[in-house]
Amino acid sequence: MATEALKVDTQDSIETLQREAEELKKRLEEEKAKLKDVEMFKAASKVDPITNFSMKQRRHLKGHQGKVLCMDWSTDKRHIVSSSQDGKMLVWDAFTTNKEHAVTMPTTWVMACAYGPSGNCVACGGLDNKCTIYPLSFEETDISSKKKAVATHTSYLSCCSFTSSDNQILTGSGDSTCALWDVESGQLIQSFHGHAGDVMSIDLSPSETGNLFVSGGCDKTAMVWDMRFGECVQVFEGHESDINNVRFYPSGDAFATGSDDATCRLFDLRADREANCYKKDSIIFGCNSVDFSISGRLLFGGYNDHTVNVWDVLKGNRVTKLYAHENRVSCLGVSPDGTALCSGSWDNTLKVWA
Amino acid sequence: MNEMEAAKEARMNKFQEGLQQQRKLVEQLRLEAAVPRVRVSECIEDIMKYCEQHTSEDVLINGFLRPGDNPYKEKGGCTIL
Repeated sequence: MATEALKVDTQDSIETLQREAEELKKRLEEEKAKLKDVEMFKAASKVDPITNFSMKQRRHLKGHQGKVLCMDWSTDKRHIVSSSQDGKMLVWDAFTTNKEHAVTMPTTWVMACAYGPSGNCVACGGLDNKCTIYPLSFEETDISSKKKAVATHTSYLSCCSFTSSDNQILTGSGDSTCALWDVESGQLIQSFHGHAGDVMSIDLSPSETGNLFVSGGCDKTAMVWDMRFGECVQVFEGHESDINNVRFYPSGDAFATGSDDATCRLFDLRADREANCYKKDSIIFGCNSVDFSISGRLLFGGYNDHTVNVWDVLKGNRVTKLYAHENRVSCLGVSPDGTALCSGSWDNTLKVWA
Repeated sequence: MNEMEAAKEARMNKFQEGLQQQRKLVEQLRLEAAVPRVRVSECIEDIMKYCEQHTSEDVLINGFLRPGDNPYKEKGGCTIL
């Protein structure tokens, strides 16, 4: 019978494909393993160690009435936007500690916030499953009246980031997808499917020809995507638990990740594998957020044990430990000109270190 | 359609779905396998070069030339006697 014959064919094809998939997976693993020809700290042995490193707390930003969940620097290198569990988004002048804008969101747990590259708007979202853009204005007393809901996901918004202009925004969600949106029309430009769990963090490539971005999630993998085609170009495994934060290395050739497995790792795009792992037996709490100093020599990690660990990216050792906050460090970021580090915490405050 | 034929059709659809998924997976793996890779030692060299080239700008490592250049340094002074 015709239907019987077709069924048998399909069965064979599935098995052949399955076998091919297994072969390819094995081959990929072997190829990636072959490339690890040297340990990073050995290769970096001729580099001078970092001495006389000191960073002091310079500003203490108090004002949130709930856990600080996310922060982002403005391109003007002095303003910071932060969002909190109390449903508020605040814009600070880091030099003077003044709060310049305050927006109350209709929901609590605003897990994501981002500053527009022009400095004239901010975006945020969280449990409302949306990403909303607010224009910043000193004339408007109620910024919320001009807000614009741009992105909608089917689960919480975990992260968002403007691309090169205020008019395009990239979002990551608990629904395991990422998406690129046009702000003006609110239209979805591209969606990115591939993660097997919540997407926790995204970061855009800093390179000029940048069409790439990296995402990290609860499926313990980091994926690199081409924004133009919606395709996943590389998958990086290695972490033993959720990846909470991903951040590109300033050259765009690599990226760092912070994970619940208490390690930070450096993955190199061209080697298509992990290049280094930053860990210590004494560090047993998850890392929530990572960022590089402007030269890429230092990697800052904010951990659940209330500290910020500063790692030497090349030599792999910990340069120092900042007893930064009185509760988890949930987010951190280096200012665009590399002059300061801002850390945000579940102790409701942010601190600026320089 | 009688029950038998309906069941056969359902089985066929499931097979087709499974086939689609497997095809997609194999395509993705083929894409990934085709990515050109570079040895880790070479990648590390490039990272080290980048660090070296940009270390002079990195004030978090080098500090400022004059303490007054740090925009976060407290201006003015109080001497504790």
